[in-house]
Amino acid sequence: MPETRSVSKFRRKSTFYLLGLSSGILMSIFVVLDDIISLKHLLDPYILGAFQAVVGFVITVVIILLLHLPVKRKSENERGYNLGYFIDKNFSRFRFPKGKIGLYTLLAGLFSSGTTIIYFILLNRKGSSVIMSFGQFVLIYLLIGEFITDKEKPVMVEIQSIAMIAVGVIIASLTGGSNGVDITGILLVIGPFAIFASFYIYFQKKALTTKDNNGKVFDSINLRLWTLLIMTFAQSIAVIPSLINGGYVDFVDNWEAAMLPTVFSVVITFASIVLYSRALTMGKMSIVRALRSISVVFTFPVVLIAGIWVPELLESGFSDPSSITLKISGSILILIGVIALALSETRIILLAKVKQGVEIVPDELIKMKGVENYSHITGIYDLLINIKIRNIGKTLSLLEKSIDKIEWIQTVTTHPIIKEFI
Amino acid sequence: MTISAYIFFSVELGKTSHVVNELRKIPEIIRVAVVTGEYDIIARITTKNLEEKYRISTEIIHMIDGIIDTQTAVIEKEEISG
Repeated sequence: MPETRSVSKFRRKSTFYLLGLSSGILMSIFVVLDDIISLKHLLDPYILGAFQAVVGFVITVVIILLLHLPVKRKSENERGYNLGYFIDKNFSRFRFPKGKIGLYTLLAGLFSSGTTIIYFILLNRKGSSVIMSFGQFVLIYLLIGEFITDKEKPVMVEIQSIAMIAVGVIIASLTGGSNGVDITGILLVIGPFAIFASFYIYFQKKALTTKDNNGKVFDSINLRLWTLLIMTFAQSIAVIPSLINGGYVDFVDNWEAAMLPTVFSVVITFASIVLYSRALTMGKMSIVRALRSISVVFTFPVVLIAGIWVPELLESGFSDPSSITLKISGSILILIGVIALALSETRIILLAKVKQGVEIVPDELIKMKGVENYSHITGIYDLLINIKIRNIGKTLSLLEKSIDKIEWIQTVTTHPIIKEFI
Repeated sequence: MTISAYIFFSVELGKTSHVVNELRKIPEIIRVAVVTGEYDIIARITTKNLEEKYRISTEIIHMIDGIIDTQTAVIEKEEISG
């Protein structure tokens, strides 16, 4: 349904920023909660991972059941919605992913399992103060993946951002003193952790953009559910060696104490995803991503506050001034790198005329890289195409490689957006 | 039935910010983009019907100082990626 609200209303703009920032802040909180559980209750990262996956799956099922609750219609003519619709407009009910969507969901779940297992290992080794910084490393692989698939060279802002994020991750992972370099930790971050996370994001996107036989796309709520189920299976298998080697006794002794913070962590994770999804519906993805990256530095005050009650949190990385300086410097460097990359994204409006007597194939446009949406319009032009590209320098290649090759488009005029209010 | 349309604006030199600020005051305008190229501003409007669109165009938009020319393109169909 079309929106009817003014672009000038401060309330909407402030809501958008609030949603993006809150999502990042909640991320920091659940990571610190995970850290507390790993320090106080479930010391083995495999046991903690499996426990969280099982609890997370059960809670997610309950939340999704609640999302089926219908919302009262404003008028008789209006179609009915449920609560889930307000998080993701493609959600209607529980859905089983079939065919290609099922394959992509399975692969997303497997890679997500891999990255989550390593997340808990890293959390155990390094603590929550730097885990958010490590998570940003995945951006480098996503960018490199795009350079390879697009057969394009990176532009200066991309090189700068990659360098800032890479150096930031290395600095943030250092600790003061003579044993400052944790080579294994760094290798885990730049190796399996970031690679698995990149593939997870890739297959997640594929699962959400592939249409089924009825022309429908999958929704992010169901995708979360099924990837969580796969993660629960994978983590349950990964935990077996730990349970056999004495971990079972520790688990039986501690699981009850770990339950409450785990439930909080899972609910906060879900809330963070919901806020992120809502923010995406209100504004630019690049801005939301930049806002969410606040979690990289916000983890520090959360750790310090939580450290009042759980002093063990401060032992990892907060023991001496040089460690604190290194972590904060590295995190700020990563934050600047992520924001610079996010804000270099550009939007372009293309106005196109189509050839007379030639069949229009909408899929050719929709599948094109960077095309967000397009409208059939009346007047001088036939189509208005909204494009989003990583930076203005990519416009020429976009036109040459994509739009100009479409048979049924006669002419195109480009209108790069220099300022936008939405 | 609600209708959505894009309005393309040509604006006097030095009046772009003023026109943008005036357009942002109109509740029915949900997007304002300052662009380079053939036009200076592209705005998206959503109204309850064509009559309301006509009223907003003639009574509000056309009264804004600095607008040289407008062209309206009504959206017939919209396709969203993914």
